[in-house]
Amino acid sequence: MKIFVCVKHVPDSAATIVVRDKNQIDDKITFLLNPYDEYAVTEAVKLKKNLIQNGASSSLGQAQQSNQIEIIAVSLGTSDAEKTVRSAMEMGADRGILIKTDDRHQDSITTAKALKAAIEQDCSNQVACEDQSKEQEPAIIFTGRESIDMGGMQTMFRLGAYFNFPVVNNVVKFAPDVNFSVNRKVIVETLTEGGGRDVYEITLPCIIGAGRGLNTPIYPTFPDVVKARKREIKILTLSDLLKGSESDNKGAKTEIIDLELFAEKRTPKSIKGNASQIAKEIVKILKEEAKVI
Amino acid sequence: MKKTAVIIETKDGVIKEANYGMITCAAKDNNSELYAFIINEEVEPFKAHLKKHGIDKIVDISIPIDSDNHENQRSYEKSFNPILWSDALTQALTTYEISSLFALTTPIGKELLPRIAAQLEAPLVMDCLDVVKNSDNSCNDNNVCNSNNSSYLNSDFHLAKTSLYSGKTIATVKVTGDIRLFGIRPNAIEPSIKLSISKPKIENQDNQDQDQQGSFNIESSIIIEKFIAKNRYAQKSKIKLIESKKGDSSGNDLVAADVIISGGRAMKNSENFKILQDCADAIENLGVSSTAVGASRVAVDLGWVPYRMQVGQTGEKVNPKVYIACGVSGSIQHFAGMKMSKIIIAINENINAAIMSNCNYFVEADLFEIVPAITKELKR
Repeated sequence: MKIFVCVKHVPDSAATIVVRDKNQIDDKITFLLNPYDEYAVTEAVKLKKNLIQNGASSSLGQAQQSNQIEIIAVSLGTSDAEKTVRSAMEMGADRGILIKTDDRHQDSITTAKALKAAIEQDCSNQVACEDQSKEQEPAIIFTGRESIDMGGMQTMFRLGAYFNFPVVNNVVKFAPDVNFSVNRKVIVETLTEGGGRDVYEITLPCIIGAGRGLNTPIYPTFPDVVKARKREIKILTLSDLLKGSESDNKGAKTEIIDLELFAEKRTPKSIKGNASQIAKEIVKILKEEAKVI
Repeated sequence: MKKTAVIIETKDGVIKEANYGMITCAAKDNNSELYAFIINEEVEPFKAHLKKHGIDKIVDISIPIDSDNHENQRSYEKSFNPILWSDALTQALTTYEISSLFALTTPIGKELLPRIAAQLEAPLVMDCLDVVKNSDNSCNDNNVCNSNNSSYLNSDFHLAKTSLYSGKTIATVKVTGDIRLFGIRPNAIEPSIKLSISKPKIENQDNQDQDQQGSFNIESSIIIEKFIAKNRYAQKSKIKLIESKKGDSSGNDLVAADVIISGGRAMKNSENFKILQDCADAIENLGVSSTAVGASRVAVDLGWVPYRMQVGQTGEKVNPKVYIACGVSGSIQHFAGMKMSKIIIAINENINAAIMSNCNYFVEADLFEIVPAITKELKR
């Protein structure tokens, strides 16, 4: 059984962004694993552990089962995104795939196509799947609910459409069904308006977009980091993966043509006095300047 | 003629105020017919408001629960179901040959737009602050339109403005394709006409008055089309919505509020958030603005308030007219969610807090003295 986790290499939210060449950012800043993807990796690791523990009744021993459940971190990005794939492996992914691109930014249509191609290629690899020949497709693909840099909120849905798998996003609770080994169903809850929850029953294979609060992300220990260094990251290139499929979407695309720093031109004014004077002044601002009362 | 559609969000049978800014944005394209897609609602009461904002046609969409074709005894899905709704909208989009679709970047919009975009393999930009069609002259102040991009002017495209990199930059995104989708950030665009205040009850009265005054004209000029979608998910689907646990719908939507009062670490506990709510209620009771209480991440992480109240990088991105930050330090991640606020008022005992040097007004004082004083002053 293969569990994939799609991860993205994004600028640290605290980094200072500098615009370069009209629509690029200066990339000499800290990049890291997208925070929402940490929940995705953690949930994949939790699922693997859970399945191994509860699979004891099966004829296979735990060790053998462990080999049969594999977590693969996949990322699309420039060569430095290898660091983010490595971070996912430190958290518990068994191996990684990096789809290397020249441009840092790819739109979500291209990204989803490339992720699909890479995942399919990995699953058609007979050596990796020889134990269970029917498992030619991924069981679950985890992603974060959105990336903090682009905030496109859509790649997981496109990936689902390309695979024809059901998709749920902003998942805050995930559990295999009690009869999972028979029905291959999972029960998930998504966060909705006003803190509500929608509960879905989904048959695998499926795509799960992890939301905040799904779990507490794993913090890798030093031995985890050392172990992850030895694991394989396979490098693919975007152009090889998408050969022949570039032009079949009728020019549908999004392209960043201009990027400007969002200027904050606020000059703070102090409001002084006793509580009642300050309150009067604030109410005056609400009334006269903001016109909200 | 090209056709543009907007997905209308309602709450308790009333059109949410945030829709009007989105309609204003979609209506800027004069060369396009404007459709309003409304699912599972009584559309008659909406006609006047929608017409005034420039809607030409209403498509009244309903979704049968079963996929059989017993037209007569059919029952319909009432509550929101992302899977069924997005599929119904995709069908309507194709049937009416819509080339641009607008919706709000709300929890509902975040479910519907990406699902539709994925089904149609259409481009989508979420959380837009503005969208213009290339043929539109309204982008004069936008250097993208008249600078070195003359080659773009000959082709057909949209330009969407959205904030990227944790709110630190504003990007102009060129969007091409047969069908284009846009998620509009609530409150980002000022409606062309301010029809009424946000109180649903008063809006209803307002609505009735207008209907009485001009009902003949309005009814003759807005067309309502009924659209019954096919339910393609009813049987043995791989995904089933088995339960909807409703959230707390008593308060106002944070993302759509005109005024937000937020509390941070200095709130000390859950109970103290009541003083912020009291102040918000006092503003709300003056009847002009919708007001909501927000929080910083630390207040959520400490369990004082639910996650849905969090403003910031990993919470809600808000655009209020006034943001009052009470005991909020103002981390970069908090700013990522509220920096588009028109006026920021910071109340903090610590003059060195980051927010005090990046706001419009700051008060160096104890919030537990100032906030109740504001509430008292508002009630006077």
